[in-house]
Amino acid sequence: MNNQTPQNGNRRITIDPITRLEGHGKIDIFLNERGDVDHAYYQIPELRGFETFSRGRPAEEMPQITSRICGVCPTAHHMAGTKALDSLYHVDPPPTAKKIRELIYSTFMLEDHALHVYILGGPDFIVGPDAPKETRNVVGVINTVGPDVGRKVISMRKRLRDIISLLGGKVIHPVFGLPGGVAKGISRDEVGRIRDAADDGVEFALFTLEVFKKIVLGYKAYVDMITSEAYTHRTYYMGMVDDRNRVNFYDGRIRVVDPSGKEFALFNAASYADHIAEHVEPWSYVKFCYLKQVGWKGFTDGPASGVYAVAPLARLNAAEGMATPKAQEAYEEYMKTLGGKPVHFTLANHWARIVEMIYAAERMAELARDPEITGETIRVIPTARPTSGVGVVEAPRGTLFHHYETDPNGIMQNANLIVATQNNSARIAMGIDKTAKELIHAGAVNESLLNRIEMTFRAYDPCNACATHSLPGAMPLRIRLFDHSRCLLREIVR
Amino acid sequence: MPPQGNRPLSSPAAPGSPPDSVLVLGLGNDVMGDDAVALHVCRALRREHLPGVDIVESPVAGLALLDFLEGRDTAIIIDSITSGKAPPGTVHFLQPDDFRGKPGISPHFVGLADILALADRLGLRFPHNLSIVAVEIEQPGGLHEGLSGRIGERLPRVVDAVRSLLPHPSSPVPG
Repeated sequence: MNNQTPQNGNRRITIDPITRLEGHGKIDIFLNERGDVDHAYYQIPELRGFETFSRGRPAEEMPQITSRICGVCPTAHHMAGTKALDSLYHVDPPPTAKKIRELIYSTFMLEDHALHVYILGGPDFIVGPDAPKETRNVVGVINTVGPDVGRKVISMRKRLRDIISLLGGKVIHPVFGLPGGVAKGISRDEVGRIRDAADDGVEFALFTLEVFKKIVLGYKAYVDMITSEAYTHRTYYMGMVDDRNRVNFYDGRIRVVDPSGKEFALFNAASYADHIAEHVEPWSYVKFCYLKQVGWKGFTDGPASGVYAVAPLARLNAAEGMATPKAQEAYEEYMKTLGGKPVHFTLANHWARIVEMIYAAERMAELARDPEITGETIRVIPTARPTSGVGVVEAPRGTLFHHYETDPNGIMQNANLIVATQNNSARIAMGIDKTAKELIHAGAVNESLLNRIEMTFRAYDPCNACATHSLPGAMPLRIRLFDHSRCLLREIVR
Repeated sequence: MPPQGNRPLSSPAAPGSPPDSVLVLGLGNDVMGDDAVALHVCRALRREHLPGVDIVESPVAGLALLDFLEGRDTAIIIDSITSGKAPPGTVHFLQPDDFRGKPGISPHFVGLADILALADRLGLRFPHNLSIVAVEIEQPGGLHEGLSGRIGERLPRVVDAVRSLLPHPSSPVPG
């Protein structure tokens, strides 16, 4: 990205694509005659063809098929799909099966969150938003935290993935979930290894919190940025909670709090359509989710607007605490430092993610010590006729809904997925627009400013049309300038 | 990126140790059309029962590449590529140097360049013979299985290209 000379008339700046691994996105920024931002649009390509693709397939294939949609969080899709099959076949898995599922899921959440903290989001807040772009990458992170920490991250990640493979089959295409239970139990011999990894995982997550405190919270400029108005939206928040309103990734009810933190709704997955509606804009393929009972009032925050958020920040806001002791301590410190609940600062997602890492690791450790985890009854065979089923989990990037409808033979007729990023799409769009308006003035556009706009959506760890894999071409980032009549003035590649 | 020419990889085995198997790693997504071309190449090669060749398919890149590459001496990665600079079906022969020095192009993307840089920085044992065969495709659209006619027709040539990079079974072990 080069600095731009202000042009007369409107200019259009395009950052395309934002990311490769987790899908493409495009940001269009329209400047007015003064060189200030008129409006910024965040566009994500829709995952196309899913309904058609699934129609006519046996429902049992769905947890495998959907896990292929995303190479990043296959376990989340597999789990949501498996739970949708439980619901479809009207079957309640035995306690051991639920615990095995939750153990696998907690391991996955810990691994995925660690990946984001150190690798994907790390370049922004570990290396620093104003660091030269050549250093804002994984090597820059290692250089900042030190190679020993780097090796620790890599080693922990590998151990966690090995546990997922041990328990769930292939990491990439998990196969453990079946309607009514799981495919494989856990032997007593295996428990020790899982327990050791979980205990090290707790230590690792607490260590990560210390790294974050030292590197991020230790610098006032970072804290000022996190709490700045540019990265603040006072929206509703959604997340799954247990029966005591504590964060739960695997099961529970969906809780929504309003912008003041008060409970607005508490519902079961099956009634999601009563609470979530989708708004369509002519400039985007994305359907913007909003709260049906509040209504769509445009890209605006406050109690009158149905825009809501999911993902770590939202989960911590939607809950009243964490179900494990060290995570609860970290939660309290987080809330206290950031001025109390609800926290409206988008960039606090990174900190919230670390609080959730601690919870995931502690929950792993608890489940590994639960006598029922090695139980032998791991499945209830479904006998009821399939009709319609909804499954929900908290994916790393937020609440994930799978809804399947079949004929009486269990052949798919309809499918609807609401993926995490879709829940967040309106708030992300608002964030891009707001950040652009606050940080670009009089045509002054530089590397740091654009990076900070990217930081807005990276905090959500957006997972868009994340299925493809191709090597990046030579043009991973493209900036195009258009005049007021939208004629291309200039194209810059970085 | 211009084709680098294909050259056979030398055998990595040290004197006295059994020859290491060569990893052929195909990357792609089976439900995204031509994105899966490398997986189809793997399946074709697997049917040939090549001795000393370990064929692995994976739909993910990023840090998962560490799991596959760490501890290996010789590897060939097959992937699709959307450079937009060549017609679909073009086979690009790439070397790690084509990727080195490129980390940082996107802070969010952990690609091969980052993995290689990370391995260097952390002193991980990584393949010293690493080749990348990339098949040019058009950006996949929606979900569907199977290759387009254009890429399907080119499949035998891609398989030949990968095979040409394998060490000749009768080659003497150097050292």
